[in-house]
Amino acid sequence: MTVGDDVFFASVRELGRLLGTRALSSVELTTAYLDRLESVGPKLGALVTLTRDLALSQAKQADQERAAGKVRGPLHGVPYGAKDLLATKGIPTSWGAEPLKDQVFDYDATAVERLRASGAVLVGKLAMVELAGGMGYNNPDASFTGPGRSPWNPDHWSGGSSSGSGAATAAGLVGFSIGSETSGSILTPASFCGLSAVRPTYGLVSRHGAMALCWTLDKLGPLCRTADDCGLVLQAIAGPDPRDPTTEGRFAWTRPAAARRFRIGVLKNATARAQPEVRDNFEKSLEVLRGFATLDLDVAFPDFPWGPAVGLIVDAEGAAAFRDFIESGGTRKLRAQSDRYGGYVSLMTLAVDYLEAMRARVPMRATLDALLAKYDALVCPTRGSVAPPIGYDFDKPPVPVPRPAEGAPSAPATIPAGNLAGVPAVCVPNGFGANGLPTSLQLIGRAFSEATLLAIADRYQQATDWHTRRPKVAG
Amino acid sequence: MPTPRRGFLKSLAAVPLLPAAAAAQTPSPSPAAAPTPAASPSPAPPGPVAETLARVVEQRYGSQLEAADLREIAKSIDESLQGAERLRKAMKLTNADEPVGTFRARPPARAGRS
Repeated sequence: MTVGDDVFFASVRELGRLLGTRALSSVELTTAYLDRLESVGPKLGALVTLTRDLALSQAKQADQERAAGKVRGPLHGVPYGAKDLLATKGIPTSWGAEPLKDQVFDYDATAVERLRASGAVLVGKLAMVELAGGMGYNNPDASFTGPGRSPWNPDHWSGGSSSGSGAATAAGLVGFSIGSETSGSILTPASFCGLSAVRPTYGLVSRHGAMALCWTLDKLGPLCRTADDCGLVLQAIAGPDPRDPTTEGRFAWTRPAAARRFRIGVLKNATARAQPEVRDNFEKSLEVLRGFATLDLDVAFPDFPWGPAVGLIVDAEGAAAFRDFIESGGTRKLRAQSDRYGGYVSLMTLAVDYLEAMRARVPMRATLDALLAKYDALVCPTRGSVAPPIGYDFDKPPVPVPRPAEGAPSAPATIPAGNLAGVPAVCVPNGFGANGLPTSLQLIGRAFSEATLLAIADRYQQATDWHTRRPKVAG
Repeated sequence: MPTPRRGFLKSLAAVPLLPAAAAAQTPSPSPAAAPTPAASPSPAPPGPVAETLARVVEQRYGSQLEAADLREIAKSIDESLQGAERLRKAMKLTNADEPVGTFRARPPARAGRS
């Protein structure tokens, strides 16, 4: 079978079907993805290291096992990419940073181990914002591989910090990818690249072997073309791990045949200050959701200083995690100007301020949980805008931004809130906005409610076709 | 309200407005808010505590930094301090409120990550 766009952009489930019917071997599929990733990946700033030898060896093994009647599961023989903060034995793991580009670990991260055990094939280490944005980047050009570019419009950012995971998956360079989120780093690239993704509950996926930016906020999760795929991948990487003492809970994914009617809370001011297309697409999404869910409108989100709390925690924990690197001058060699001095700022975080944030986190988490307990999900746009252009600082856009009127409402800070509370979120594409760039719908739920969120997202995708749209990618 | 110092947090706060103007051929005002003229207010200079902490940075790491960096560092420290103050004012905590993550005397069987 010829490997063309229908294969490159196929869902994991469909790739599994092609492999299962022997329409395609894993070696053929892997070779095609390797060639495409090698050719297109650098143009999108998505690739750090192509793992050709490893991938072909894993693919060959997958084919041999399948021929012998051993199929490890739905990921068996499916190629994927890993954000370059996941340790891979004998293969460089750069954390997106020039001074660390030759760093090599002698073990695999648990997520990589588990994907190998599921039969998945690692084709590449994907680009990311240096140190996962921990030093305070203020520009898309904050990786030693250059800015991540959206395959929908390469003049625009693919989002961060899982920039390569977003770009590579959306461009059909991998079957799926793994990203990480401390505060927005999975949801943002998924939103900007038109992907489905899960930010799992804190502790559901082992962080063993992942770069530590923030011990109490870091999470790993999948970026895929469909919500169903996210369930398949999350199932493979979730679960307890003695090497990560924060792990708890398990996750199993079965695509619901006839799901019950859901109850969804629509956040008040969800589209405040959003771009017009984001607002319109969100309203259309609500109409789709009404087909299988009861919607409560104007649900008030807890009004806490979520952003400052997350900022303090990232500052303090990130400064501790990278203290030696900062003090030795390592951050002076980073790409983004603000990353070169941000670490010194973090080192000055007062211990009492950090502890106050960690104390405040308890009632903030409880208040959010009390709200989430009333619903299967809360819903809002993932981001209020499409991807910004490359070449400008986030706070210095090319065209002056009109300031909102005094007292005008702002959208709920769902991304820092969800991360501070450690609760899961799922996002799916829900249309397009300016410059042909995708917009996205976010579902937020209680801790360990990923199956419910994915069931809602899957129902949404059964009623829409945004997840089947493909960017034009020049090979 | 102080702008979060961190770029990715800053982007979370700013981007909903940013590309609306940046991506369109002509700036389009937010539908939810009547825009005021685009001129930004002049940022206040860093407060004395931020200046003092910036001098600590200079004392410890000055050989690695340039004057422009130190100015940015003072501003960023000031933003962080303002964020901390805002959090403290918003959350009324009592003496008994403990932070997340409780210390336990008995070590876990296999603590830590290799």
